[in-house]
Amino acid sequence: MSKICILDYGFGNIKSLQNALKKIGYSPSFFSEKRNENYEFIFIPGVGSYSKASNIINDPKISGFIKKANENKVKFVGICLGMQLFHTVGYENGKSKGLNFINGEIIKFPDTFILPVIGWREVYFNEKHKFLSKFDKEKFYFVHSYFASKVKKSNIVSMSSYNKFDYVSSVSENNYFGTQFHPEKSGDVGLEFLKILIKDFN
Amino acid sequence: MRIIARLDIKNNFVIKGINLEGLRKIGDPISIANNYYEQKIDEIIYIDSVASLYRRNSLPDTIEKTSENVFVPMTVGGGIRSLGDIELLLKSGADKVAINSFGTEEPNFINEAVKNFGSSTIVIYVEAKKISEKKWEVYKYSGREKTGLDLIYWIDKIQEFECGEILLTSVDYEGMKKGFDIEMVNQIYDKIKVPLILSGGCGNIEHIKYVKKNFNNVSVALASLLHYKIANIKEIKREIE
Repeated sequence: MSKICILDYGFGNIKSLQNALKKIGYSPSFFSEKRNENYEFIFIPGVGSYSKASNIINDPKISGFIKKANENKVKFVGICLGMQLFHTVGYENGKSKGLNFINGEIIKFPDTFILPVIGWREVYFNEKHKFLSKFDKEKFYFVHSYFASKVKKSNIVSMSSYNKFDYVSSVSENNYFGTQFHPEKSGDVGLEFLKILIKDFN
Repeated sequence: MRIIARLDIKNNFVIKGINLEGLRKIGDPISIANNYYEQKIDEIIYIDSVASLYRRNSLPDTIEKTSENVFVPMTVGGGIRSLGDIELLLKSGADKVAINSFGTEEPNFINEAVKNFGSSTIVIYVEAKKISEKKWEVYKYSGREKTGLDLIYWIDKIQEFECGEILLTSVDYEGMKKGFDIEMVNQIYDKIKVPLILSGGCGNIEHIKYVKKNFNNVSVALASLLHYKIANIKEIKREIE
């Protein structure tokens, strides 16, 4: 069984992610409660402000843990703000540094849009990620005002669209996989997505 | 458009009234939420309808149990008066909280809540009642008390504080099943910059279709329609696609 750690660094509803992982048969542990170094997956969840989250993940206590896990090729799954933190920089309340796992900048949707984007949108998966093809055009739940831009084509796993504006809705590179949507809040489809991701993401 | 189930709770029962009064018991909150989840509801809103009166939200236990099996967003409201109240609800499994009465008394609390938990966690629950031609007043304590606030002023104010969403209930139309208060929506629609959820009055699928057709980006919260099984979620979704 995969060992999973949820990085609970103070942002967002970590309980729902824990419940979702339990429902599909895993027993995740929280970074704040128990730490061992044999994790197969580290989930970085999060809803909230990029700049605040950036300060926290760059704190030596957390950044050291992430760095070590990264050297050991632990797989990282970022959800929403967690996915945004994978990128190089974010522009929420000024410029702040991300983890720089994947090239890209986190910027805001046009001000004329009703924001945040809240609701279920279709996710169009890139054919090259065969293990996710059954989720192509399925609807997942999103909550965000910012999105990843300047992402290299080779890192884009899926696209979605809001007010006819297309944006990157999931990314991957090496041992990193990030979703802008919340699989843990996307009903049975979301649970199935998490199951497949943990089983087949290599 | 999101189809949201609204569950008003009193003494551990889902209840339903007319104009937020004359409450009738519907059933157990957890099994009702589970049932709507299985029918593919988009979201669930729990409101403790007497929490402000008793100064205590009784829902953490219910949310904790619901969140073990319900994997769609849950908003929880009723009696929220401190950052600690919000934290407790989020830890219990709520994704968002809805602030009403205390926010009208201490508007700066809304600002504090947004700064601490982020816009997308903070829903402002607004209860409004028509008081004269083209004028609506904001109410509190489940439509029992006036606040003296004008609806248009309040809608502007809460968006200045960067709330993430607005849940707007018409006290006049609530439980009447004759449709949403479209006149009220028209009054505020051009002021709306965040997602709006309409609540109160839906009695059939045509009422939902009307909102979808005439307003962009507005969602609906349903109670009577679902609780009294006038329509089921699958059928609603098929009709509005």
